[in-house]
Amino acid sequence: MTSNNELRLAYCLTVILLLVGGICFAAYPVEKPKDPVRKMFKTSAGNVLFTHKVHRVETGYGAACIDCHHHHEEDPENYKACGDCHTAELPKTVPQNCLECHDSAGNIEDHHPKTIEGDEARLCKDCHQKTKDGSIPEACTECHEPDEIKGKQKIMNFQNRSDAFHKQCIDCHKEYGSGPVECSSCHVM
Amino acid sequence: MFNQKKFIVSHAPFWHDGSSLSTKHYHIMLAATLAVIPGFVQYGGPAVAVVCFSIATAMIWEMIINKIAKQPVTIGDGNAALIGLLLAMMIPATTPWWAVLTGTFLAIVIGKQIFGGLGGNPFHPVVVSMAILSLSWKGIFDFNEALLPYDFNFTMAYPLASLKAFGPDSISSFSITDLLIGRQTGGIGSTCGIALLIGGLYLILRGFIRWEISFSFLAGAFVTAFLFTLFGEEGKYAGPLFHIFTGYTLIGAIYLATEDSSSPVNFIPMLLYGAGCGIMTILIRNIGAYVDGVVLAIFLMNLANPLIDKIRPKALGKVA
Repeated sequence: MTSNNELRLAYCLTVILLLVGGICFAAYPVEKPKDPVRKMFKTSAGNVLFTHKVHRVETGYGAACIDCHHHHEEDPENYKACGDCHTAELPKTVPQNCLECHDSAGNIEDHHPKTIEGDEARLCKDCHQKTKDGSIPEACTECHEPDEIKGKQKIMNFQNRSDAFHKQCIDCHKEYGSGPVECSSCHVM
Repeated sequence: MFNQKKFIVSHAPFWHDGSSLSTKHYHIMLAATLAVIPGFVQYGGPAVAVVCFSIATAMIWEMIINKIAKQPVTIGDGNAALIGLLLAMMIPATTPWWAVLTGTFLAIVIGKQIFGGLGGNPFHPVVVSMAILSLSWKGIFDFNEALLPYDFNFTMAYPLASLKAFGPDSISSFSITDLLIGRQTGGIGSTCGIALLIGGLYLILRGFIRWEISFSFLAGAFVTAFLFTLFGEEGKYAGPLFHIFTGYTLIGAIYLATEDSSSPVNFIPMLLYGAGCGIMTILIRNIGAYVDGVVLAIFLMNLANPLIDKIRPKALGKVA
């Protein structure tokens, strides 16, 4: 084979493979399945590869959707992903769109009149936050006496993203006596 | 009078034995394709897209550089196509087109042409490209994250990542047979051990790659991993066969470390170079920060190659 023939073959190969590659990229895009197989939770303490399908299917752990995806009891077919509320962009904060779920479920307007609008409006996270020393957040004591809300500590411990995920996983693993509960058993450090 | 005959050449005409660079490169591609087929079967269209696009764009980058440098177009020798194929074999099937395009640019332009083209590159172009890509876009080239949408009937966690993070207990679901037949996650063409070994054997028997490098690479990795299991903390390190059949070990030993320009030409240096690659691979995996040490190990040994090749070279023209 002469050099010219080799070059001609290479040109043909380039054109054909470019076409096939381009068409395949267009025809077979990699799409996320509607029912996730696995999820990768990205955290500063190391990513966690979560076997979503194994937890869900009957041949696996057979967990019901509601076991993990809360807040949507009224519309069981429309579960949100954890990250929709506990956003990855704001991992240190409480969910940003609380009212999407709680507005219809509770008496949020009556109980928290300042949360809705106005210059002095409070965000949910102003009160529903975990303080470092465990004390009641300052925003709450503007309206409430500390003694008045002391019994409602559960509300005060509203979870940020890592709390939500940790509680969800570890509580279940402990309950069933199966699955990792140590940091290094889930997080790829 | 000194009358030793050093070099005898008969007069013309001469007969070309038919071997050429393109023959060699296309044979290597043919052998490598054997390992790509399982990737096509597993991942389907996206894998075909990545492989075809990678080969095509590698050739286009080479052509562009040839034109800019006002040099003859060299894509006819098949080396650019081979580089594109090897790069595609090492990356996930979900790699987006722009990452493939960037990868082939890095391999052809930064890894090869910037040093003067074929024969002038001190590092394997694919190794250069993979090192830069995996440092730049960790998520895209992390097999655990990249292959999230896929579900096969085997453990889908990347074996080396599981080993690194959770220890040997976490890899008990991987049998050596599974690893050998490609029942593991990884690059499109780097998971099926048996296909890689058959391809490598073919290339060695045909004389296209040097057995000394491949053999010493695998032997170095095997012995080092074995020593870790023997003398290391009990239950902390995986066995040697696991290391041989996971990650880039086989593709590294057969297709990357054996590249002519970046590997030694003398017998002892070839053995040292290959063994160095294997030893470094296991050291990086077992006590280093990276999940798979093959790319970095070959990179470092490429760097040491000129020095290693100076160890007791046979003088040119010396008889007996």
